[in-house]
Amino acid sequence: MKQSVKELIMPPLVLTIICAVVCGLLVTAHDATYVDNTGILTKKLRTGCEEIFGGGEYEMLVTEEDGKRLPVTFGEKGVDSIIVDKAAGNCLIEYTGDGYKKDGLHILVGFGSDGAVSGISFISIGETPGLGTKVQEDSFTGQFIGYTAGGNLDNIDGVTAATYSSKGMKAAVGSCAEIYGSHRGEIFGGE
Amino acid sequence: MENKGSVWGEFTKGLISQNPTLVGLLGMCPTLAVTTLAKNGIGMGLATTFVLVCSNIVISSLKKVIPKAVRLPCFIVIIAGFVTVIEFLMKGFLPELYDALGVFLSLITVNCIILGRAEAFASKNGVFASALDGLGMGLGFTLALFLMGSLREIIGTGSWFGMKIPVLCDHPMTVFIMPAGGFFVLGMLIALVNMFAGKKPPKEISCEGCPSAAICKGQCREEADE
Repeated sequence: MKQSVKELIMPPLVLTIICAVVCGLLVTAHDATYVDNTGILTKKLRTGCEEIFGGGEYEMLVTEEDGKRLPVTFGEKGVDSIIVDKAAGNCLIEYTGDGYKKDGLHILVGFGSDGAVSGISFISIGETPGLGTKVQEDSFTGQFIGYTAGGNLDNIDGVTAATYSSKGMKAAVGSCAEIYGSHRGEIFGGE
Repeated sequence: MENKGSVWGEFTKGLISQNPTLVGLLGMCPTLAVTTLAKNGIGMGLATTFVLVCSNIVISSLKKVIPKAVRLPCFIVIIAGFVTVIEFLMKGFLPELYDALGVFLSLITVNCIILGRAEAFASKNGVFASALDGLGMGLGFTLALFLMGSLREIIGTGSWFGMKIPVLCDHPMTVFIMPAGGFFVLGMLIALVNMFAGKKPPKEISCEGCPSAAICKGQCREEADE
């Protein structure tokens, strides 16, 4: 049976109109909800900094590229930003690493003026509730305090039944310490 | 015109008697995957309810405009549009819940409850009835996810909405927040709903209601009798 012109045109036309209307709706929704946090010290990050070092004058290290503010990461994998309190000589590295879940560990690792880990704060955690999330407990994170680049992470006891999350945390803190050790001068505006 | 009783019926049927999860066994993927916490269950349930109500309203309004040949692509575009809107909203205002729901939030697009209601109800009924159907089904889904999330969180982690429960928090049964525990809790809830609904297995196997009846033509019964 031969199809009429209307039957041929209407289906693609209706589908195209629906797609166009939906696209318009999405553009509006995106504009209304999107906030670009790149290079900004958000409330969440500030709270994390204060959990480790208490109050201070924290600032994120940023660089300008093509007129856009971008956080300094030294091109290191996993580093999201570097925050400093120059007056106190403290530095915090915002780091995202894999635990049991890919990118499941989003942490701030604080380094005191002595160059050793002073504390760890969690920005978000995507690990298994009740298992992997136990890496947030002080009994585990407390073991990293005093750790410096090149130190031994093998003597840190993992959390029972959360092997991947524990290993992920050890790798994340180890990487942060290495990065801090190799870029300390640049972070505080020296050489 | 719809009478009052049937309108109320459209809303309530999805809550218990035709609960999409516990009776219809639809939307199993998010049901099992995100219900490790009660909070996640509610978040996923409400996001799905929003998409169900909005897509039912739009599909019902456009049912005479959408040609049959492109019915399904149109439904999917509309549903995907609302899913993306809820994703934007959640990312902007509830980032923690957005992270917790992960990929399952985007996968609401292919949730069979939504496409099922669009095809079976919204494309054949009025806007108001479709909105109520979507709301009832969505709340039924939320209720099921909330129950599953609560049970798994309480038994599996010894806490509820982050509040520690004495005794249980010292002896959590972590298997309940693992996939196996999800299947176990879901099975128990389905059994409970069947018990309260008085549902019993058929005494005699018949071809009535069998989806393979047209192909099989009763051969399986003859083989069983032999």
